[in-house]
Amino acid sequence: MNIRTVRYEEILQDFFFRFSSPSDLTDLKASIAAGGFETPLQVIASGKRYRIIAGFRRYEAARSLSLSNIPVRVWEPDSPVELFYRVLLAQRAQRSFTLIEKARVLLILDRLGEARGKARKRFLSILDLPFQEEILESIRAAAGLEQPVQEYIERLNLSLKMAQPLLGLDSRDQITLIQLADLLRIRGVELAEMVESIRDILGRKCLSLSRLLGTEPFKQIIHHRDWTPSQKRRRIHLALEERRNPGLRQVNEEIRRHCDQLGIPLFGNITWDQTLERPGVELRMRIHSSEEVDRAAGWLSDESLRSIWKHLLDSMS
Amino acid sequence: MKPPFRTILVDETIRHHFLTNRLLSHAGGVRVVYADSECLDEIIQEQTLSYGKRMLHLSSPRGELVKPCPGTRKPYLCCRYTVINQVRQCPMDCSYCILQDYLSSPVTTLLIPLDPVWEEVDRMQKQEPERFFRFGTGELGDSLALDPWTSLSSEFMQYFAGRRNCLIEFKTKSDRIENAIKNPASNAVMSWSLNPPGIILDEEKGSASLERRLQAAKRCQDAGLLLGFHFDPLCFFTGWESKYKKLVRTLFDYVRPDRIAWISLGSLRYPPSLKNVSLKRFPRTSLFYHEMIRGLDGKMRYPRPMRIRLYRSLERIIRHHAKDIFLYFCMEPPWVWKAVLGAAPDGNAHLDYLFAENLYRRFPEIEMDEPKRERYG
Ligand code: SF4
Repeated sequence: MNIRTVRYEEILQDFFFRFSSPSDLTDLKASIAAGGFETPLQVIASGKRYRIIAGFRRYEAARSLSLSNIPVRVWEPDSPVELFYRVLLAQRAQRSFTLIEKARVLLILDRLGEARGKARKRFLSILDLPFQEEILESIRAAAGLEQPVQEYIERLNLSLKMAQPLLGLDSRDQITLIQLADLLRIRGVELAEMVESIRDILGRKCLSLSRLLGTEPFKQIIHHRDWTPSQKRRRIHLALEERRNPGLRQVNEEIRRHCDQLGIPLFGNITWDQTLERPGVELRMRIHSSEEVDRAAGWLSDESLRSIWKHLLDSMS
Repeated sequence: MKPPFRTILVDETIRHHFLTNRLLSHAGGVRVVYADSECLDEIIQEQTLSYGKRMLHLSSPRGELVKPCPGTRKPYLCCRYTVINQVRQCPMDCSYCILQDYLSSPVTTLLIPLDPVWEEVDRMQKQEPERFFRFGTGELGDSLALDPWTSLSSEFMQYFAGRRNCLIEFKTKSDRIENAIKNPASNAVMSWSLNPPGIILDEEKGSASLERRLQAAKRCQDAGLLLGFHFDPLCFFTGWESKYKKLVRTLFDYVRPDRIAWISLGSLRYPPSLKNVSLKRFPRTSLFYHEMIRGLDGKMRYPRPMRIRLYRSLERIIRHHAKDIFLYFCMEPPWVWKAVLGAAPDGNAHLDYLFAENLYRRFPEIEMDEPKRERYG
């Protein structure tokens, strides 16, 4: 291992070990311009040239500053895996990796032939990943997503659990969805729920997301001029739920209609489990006087309401 | 018959066990890897489910081998079944299979030897001598999928034959009954999960066709074995009503109602996490896109009115062919039982009693004491 200065052209451009996305270089450039390189790039020799293992941002900064020489620390070419491991370890001490970065690291390990056995286990522990091939496969898939989707996952720092429903959509729908999410500022759990609903509707109807959003009421909601993003979000959410569970919605509406017909006195109200998993309704009344007791009793025993009660309860099963 | 696995991983500690030897002698042409458990675990963890299903792991016992079926939370009723988890994972590949999400190992594992199972069964029965136990091997895998190579059914038949106050159920989607019918025990129930041919084709990869399942059932019936059928998972799809009707009719073309110990009805249900796992592996399945709610136990299921519709329809057709058949629901609340059957058990123990009572009344060949209601919790 030694430190030396190499010419810009001597660096291989394949960026084999790069796993982080490009980011803003303004501060780094300013610091290099003012004081030069504080830390050399970590490289291994590859023929007559060098392959970067760590220091991609510094390299980019040097390039955009048109520096012709770059200081590098050259490692033995037979230790790239070990070196890559140490690079990851050092970075892990400062921050946690995004899903996309983890995916890229897994692909690098695959290409290095480090996909098997104990050697990989220690990498997985730095990446906070379980040693379960099924999960690793899902993560790897994230590295193959379209660029805007990768950027979106990184920007929101979505975990695999949060991103997985999104990964289940086809790439065009993924992009349509993140455009909608940005437009309406939909984030986190709300986004995950929305994707679930969308996926069910699209799967059932064999539709694309852009076609679904081109139908009413979605079209009207999205393009409405007076509604705020949060009002639009609420409406979209309701409209999706209606499309996703039309049978449930119908029954719930019927129950609501029957409740209206009952004309509950004394500011009382009726509630029920809207998933309909629990049968029956809950009746609440606040009673202050014996007259009100009589009124409530009269209402409950009103023969003319019997058939409405019956219909209400029947509609639940 | 060609084995459904390409590699057998053998734990060094059971290398010389007779079950290992027997299995290896039946599995010609399969690659065999002997190693210690740590090394095998590493190989296993590197497999995806689709690869893992093509491997067989012979391991020394780990985890609980015999235990009450985990069932599900109240208010859903469960039947107090007792599961024997000798085999974990399954070489078949059903899109809705909960094991895809439930088991951490992707490789089908057979735990050897069987003695700890016998000890545990013995202990449980001694603990509750007046209870009739229903044991089953088909909870964490298919009871017979590997039987031509493992011959486990023969071991179980031999152990359970003549054993009082218990029975053993082999639940399967295969037609691999050759070993079972060689030495049929009077307290063994051979049972099949049934669905219309379209669902079998699309969603139950690697399983036997409906016809082959029913032919196998008939052969078991002819060999004197009791039968069970599980309409589970019942699914909604275009034309479901007429297809289920036809399925029930076909079933009774093959078997006699008086040899059926029970029929269960259970609609599609799954933990929410299964959906992504399954859709990734079976992108063409449409099972998970149907209208679903999150049940009171956290599992996804069809809304109750829809389930009741499914059940009512099935119940009517089944009763038409077999008026007095013992019919039960898997993981349904009492109000669903009442809506379909007009009555519900008081709880899980009562349901357990109803099973015992039905078996005692209908199948005198099973050696069992008359069940007493008060002994069932
Ligand atoms: S046969 Fe049973 S255990 Fe096997 S994959 Fe299908 S559902 Fe799962």
